[in-house]
Amino acid sequence: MMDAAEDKSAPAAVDTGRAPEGQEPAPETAPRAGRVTNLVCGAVTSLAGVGALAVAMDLGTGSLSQPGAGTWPAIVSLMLFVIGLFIAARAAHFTDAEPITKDAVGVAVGAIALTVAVQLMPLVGFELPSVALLVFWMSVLGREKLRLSVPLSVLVVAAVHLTFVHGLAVPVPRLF
Amino acid sequence: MSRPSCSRRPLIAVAAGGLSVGLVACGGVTDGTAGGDGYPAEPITLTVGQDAGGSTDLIARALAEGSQEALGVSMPVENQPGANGAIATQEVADQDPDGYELTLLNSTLITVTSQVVSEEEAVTLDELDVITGLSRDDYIMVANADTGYGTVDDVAADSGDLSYGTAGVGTGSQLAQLLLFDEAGIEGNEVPFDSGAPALTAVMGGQVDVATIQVGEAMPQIEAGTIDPIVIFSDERNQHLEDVPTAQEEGYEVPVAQYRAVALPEGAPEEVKQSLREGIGEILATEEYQQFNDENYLTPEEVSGEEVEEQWTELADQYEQSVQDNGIDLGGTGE
Amino acid sequence: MDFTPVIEGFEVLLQPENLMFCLIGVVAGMAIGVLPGLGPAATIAILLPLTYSMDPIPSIIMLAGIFYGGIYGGTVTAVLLKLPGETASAITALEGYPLAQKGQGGKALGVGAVASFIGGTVSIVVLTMVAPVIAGFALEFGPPEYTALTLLGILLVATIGNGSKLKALAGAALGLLLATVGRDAFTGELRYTAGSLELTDGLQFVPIAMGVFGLAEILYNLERRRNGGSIPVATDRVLPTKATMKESAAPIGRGGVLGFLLGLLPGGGATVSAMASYGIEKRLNKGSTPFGKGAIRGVAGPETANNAAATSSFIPLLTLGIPANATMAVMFSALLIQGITPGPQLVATDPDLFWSVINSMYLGNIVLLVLAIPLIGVFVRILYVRSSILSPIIVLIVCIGAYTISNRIFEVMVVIVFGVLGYLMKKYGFDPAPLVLAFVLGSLLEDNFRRSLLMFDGDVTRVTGHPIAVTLLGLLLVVVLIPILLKLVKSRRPDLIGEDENGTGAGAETETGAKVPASVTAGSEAGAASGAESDSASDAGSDTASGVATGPNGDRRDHPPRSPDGSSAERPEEGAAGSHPSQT
Repeated sequence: MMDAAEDKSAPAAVDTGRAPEGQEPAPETAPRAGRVTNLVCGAVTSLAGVGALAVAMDLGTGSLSQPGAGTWPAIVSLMLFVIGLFIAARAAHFTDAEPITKDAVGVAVGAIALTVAVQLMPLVGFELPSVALLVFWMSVLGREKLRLSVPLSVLVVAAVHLTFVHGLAVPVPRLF
Repeated sequence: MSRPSCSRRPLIAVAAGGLSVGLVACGGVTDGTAGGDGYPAEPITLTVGQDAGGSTDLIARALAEGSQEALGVSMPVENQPGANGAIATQEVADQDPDGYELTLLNSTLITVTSQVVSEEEAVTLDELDVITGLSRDDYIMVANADTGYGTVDDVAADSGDLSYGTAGVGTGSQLAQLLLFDEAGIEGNEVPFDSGAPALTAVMGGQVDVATIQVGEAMPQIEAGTIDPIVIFSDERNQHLEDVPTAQEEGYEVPVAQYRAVALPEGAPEEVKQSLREGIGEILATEEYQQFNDENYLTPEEVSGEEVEEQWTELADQYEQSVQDNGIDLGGTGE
Repeated sequence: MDFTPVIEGFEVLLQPENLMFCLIGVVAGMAIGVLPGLGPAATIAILLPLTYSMDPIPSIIMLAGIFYGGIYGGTVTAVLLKLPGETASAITALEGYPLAQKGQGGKALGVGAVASFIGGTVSIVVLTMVAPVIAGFALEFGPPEYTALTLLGILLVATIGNGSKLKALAGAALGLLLATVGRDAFTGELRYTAGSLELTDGLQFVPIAMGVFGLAEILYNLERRRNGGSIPVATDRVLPTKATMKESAAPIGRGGVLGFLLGLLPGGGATVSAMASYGIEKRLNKGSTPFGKGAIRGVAGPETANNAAATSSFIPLLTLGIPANATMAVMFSALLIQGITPGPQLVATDPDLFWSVINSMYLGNIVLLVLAIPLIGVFVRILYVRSSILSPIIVLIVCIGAYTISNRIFEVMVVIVFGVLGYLMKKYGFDPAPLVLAFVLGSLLEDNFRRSLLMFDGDVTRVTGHPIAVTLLGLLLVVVLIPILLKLVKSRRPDLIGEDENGTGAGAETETGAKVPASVTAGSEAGAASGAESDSASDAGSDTASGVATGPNGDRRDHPPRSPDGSSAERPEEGAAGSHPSQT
C-alpha cells in the first residue's frame, strides 16, 4: 500500500494541491470502471435479494390478517432482486463506478488493522491496541514520521482514557 | 465520577506472564482482590440489561444512590441492553463471583421470555445467586375511558370485535393478557407494541380497545381519567389502586407480575453475600428508597434470595404449564 | 390563558446561578455531543448524574442546556466529519459535509446554529401558547397514520440520494432489509440473525451511520491519499452573511413548521421532518448550488426542522407523559429523578415546574446560540489537522464511542463492517444516504403496517375510518401523480430532459411512489404473497419507465460529484454559488 509517492510527510497538503502527484489526475480523465463492474454490482445486489428472499420464505409469509415474520422481508428482498437486475441490465450506462486502484490495498490493510485492534481491546484493554493502531495508521498508512506519531498516539490515547474512563465513567475495557 | 474498578476481562489475556501487570492495573492501591475482610473495598458494578431511563434502570439507580452510605463504596450502574437483558445477565454470570459484579434481574426475563426464545437465549438462575428480592411491579389491564369498560365481563361482552395491545412478544404484559383472554373466552386481535408506552398511547388514542401495561406507566393517565383500570394481574391488590380487583378475585388464575431482584455470579464467598445482604437491606430500609418505591407504584417484595429463586422457578413452571395446556401461542422460536 | 407563571418563571431563571448552570449544561452537552457516537440521548444519560444532587429547578435548567448542547454537538460532527450522532443530523451531513470540504464548514455550522435557534425558539413559543390544546394530536396518530407517514418518508428517501437513482433505490432496499434483522416484534421469530445473540435486538442506527458515513469516508480518502484534508478556504467568517441568511430564510421557515408539527408525533417525527424539509428544499431547487454539493438550504431547512421537532417532542412528554424518542425517554427519567412526573397532571398539579421546564428551554436555546457562534471557529479548526493524523484519531474515538452505545465490542465491529460496505458503495456509485435513512424508517413502516393489518383484521379498506391516514395517503398520491404528469409533459418535449437538473428526483419518486398504492391496495387482493408479487411487479414497471427517462440524465449528473477529490467538480460550483463570493 505504500508503494507510491513516499514523499508524503509534508504537512497539510491540500487536495487541490496534490493533483500533480501521480494518481490524482487519473480519476478525472481516465475511464471509470465500466460495464463489467456495474454488471457485478447488479449481480451482487440481485444475489443479496435472492438470499434474503430464501430466508424470508423460510420464515413464512403469513396472511393478510396475520402477516408472518417473512412477509415484509420477502417484499423488500424482491425489490432488491429486481433493482439488481435493472442495474445489471443497464450496466453499460453507468459512469459512476470507480475502479479499485492498487491503493485500495491500503484500505484493506487499514480495515484489517482496525479489526485486529478492536478484537484485542476486550482482551488486553483498549489502550495498547489503540496506541498501536494509531501509530500504524499514522506512520504506515499516512507516512508520518515515527517521532511524531508515537508520542502523539500515546498522548491521544491518554486523552481518550481521561475523557471516557474518568470524565464520563464509561466502562470501556481497559488496562489502566 | 471516576470508576476505578477493574476492567472487564484484561486479566484473562494477560494471565500468562502478565498477571502482575493486571493486578497493578486493576487493583490500584487496594490490591483489589475480592472477598477477604476488606469487602467491599472498591466500587461495585451493578449491570442492568435494559436501556438507561427504563423502570429497571431507575430501580438500579435508586439502589446505587444509597450504596455509598450503606456499603461504603459507590455502585456505578452499567447499562448493557441487548436481547431483553439476556446478554447482560449472561455476561455477569460469567464474571468472577467476587462480589464486585452484580446484576439487577427482571423476573419476566426468566419466567416468561424463556418460553419464547431459543434454548441458548433462555436465561436461567442456574449460574446466579440471588441476594435479595426488591419489589413487585404490577401489570394492569386498562381500557380507553370512552369504551366504558369497567370489568373483565364488559370486555368479554365485546369478544371477537376487539383489539388489544401488549408490550411485545415474550413480555409479562403479553402473557397476562393472553392467559386472561383465554380463560375468559375473549377473542380479539393481538397488536404487539415495542414496549408499554406505545401500547398506552394506542389505548389513549383509541387505536386499540384495551392493553396490559405496568402500573407505573398507567397511573398518571388513570388519575387523569383518560383510561380506566380493569384488572390487576397479581395475587394481591396494589396499594395505590385499592379499588381495582385482581384477576384472581375475578376468578381467573393469572398471577403475572414483574418482580425484581439483585443477583451475583454463583459461588461467591458467604461473607461477601452476607455483606451485600446487609448493605442492600440497609439501602432498602432508607426513607429515600421507600419513597422511591412509593412514587413509582412499586410494592416492596424484599424477600430472601432463596425465596426469590423458588418463587420464580415455580412461576416459570406454572406459566409453561398454562401455555401448554391452553395451547396459547406466544410466538417465538422456542418449542 | 394566564401567563403569570410564565413570567414569574423567567425571573427565577435569570438569576445568575441558574444562568451559570445553563451555561455549564450547554458547554458539557456540546463537549460530549461532539464525540462521535454520542448522540443527544447518550449525552444526557452520561451527564445525568451531574444533576442528581441538585435542586429541581437548576437541574432542569442544566438539563435543557445539555439537551440543546448535545443536539448541536451532533450537528458539528455531522457537518465536519460526516459523523451524525442521531438520525436527524444524518440529513444535515448531506449538505453540511460537502460545505465543510469546500472550506465552508463555518458557514454551515453558523447557519445551523441560527437555524437551530430559530427552530427551537419558535417551537417553544408555540409550545407555550398551545401545548395543552394540541397535545391530543399525537394520540390521533395510530398505526395506520404512522404507516402513511413513514411511506411518505420512504418516498422522500428516494429524492434524497445523489447519483444514480437506481443505485439509490438498491441502497434503500438494503436499508429496509437491514431494519428487519433481529427478533420480529410480532411473532418473536429471529430474522437474519445467523444465530448471533447480539443481533437479536437488531442493528442500531448510530453504528451503521458512523460506519457507512464517517468510517467509509475515511477509508475512501485513505485510498485517494488525500492526506491534506480539505481546508482550502479559511473559515474566518462564522456569522452567516446577509446573502446566506436570505437564502436560508425560506427553508428555515418551512423547516420550522414541518419540524414543529411532525415533532409532536412519538416515534420518528423528528427524522421524517428533517427528511421532508430536505426533500422539499431539494425539490424547490431555488438556490444556485445543487444539492449534494453543499447547498446551504439543505442545512438550514433540516436543521430548523430537527430542532423544532426536538423541542416540540417535549409536548407529548410533558402533557401526555409519552416519550417520543430515545432522547425524550432519557429526559423523562431525568425529570422523574427530580420528582417531576411528566404527564397529564403536570400542568394542573405543578404549573411552576411545568413552566420552569418550558422556560429553561428558552434559556438553553439562547445560551446555545451565544456559545455556539464563537465556538464554531474552534470546531472548524479540527479540519486544519492533516488527515493522516486526524483520520486515525477519529477512527479511534468512533470505536470508543460505538462501544459506549451498549458497552459491547459488537457495535464497534458493526461500525467496521458498515465502514467497509460504505466504502464499496461509494466506490461503485451507490449513495449511502438512502440506505441509512431507509434503515431508520424501515422498522417503523413494517411494524405499523403490520399493526394496522392486525387492527383491521386484514381488511385494508378499514383505513377509510382513519381520516388522517387517508389524507396522508392522498397527499402521497398527489406527490406521485404530479411527477408522473410532469414527466409525461416532458417526454413530449425531449429537449427539456437534459436541462432538468431535478428530473432524476421526479423519476425516482415515481419509482418508490408507484410502490405505495401497490403495497397498500395489494392487501385487498388475495394474500400477502400475491401482494408481494404485485408490489414488485409494479415496481419493476415503474423502474423501466423512469429508468429510461432518467438514465442518461442521471449519468450526466453523476459525473461531476463522483470526481473523487472534488477539486475539479466543485470549484465551478463554488463560483456559481450565489452566497459564496461574500464568504471569502
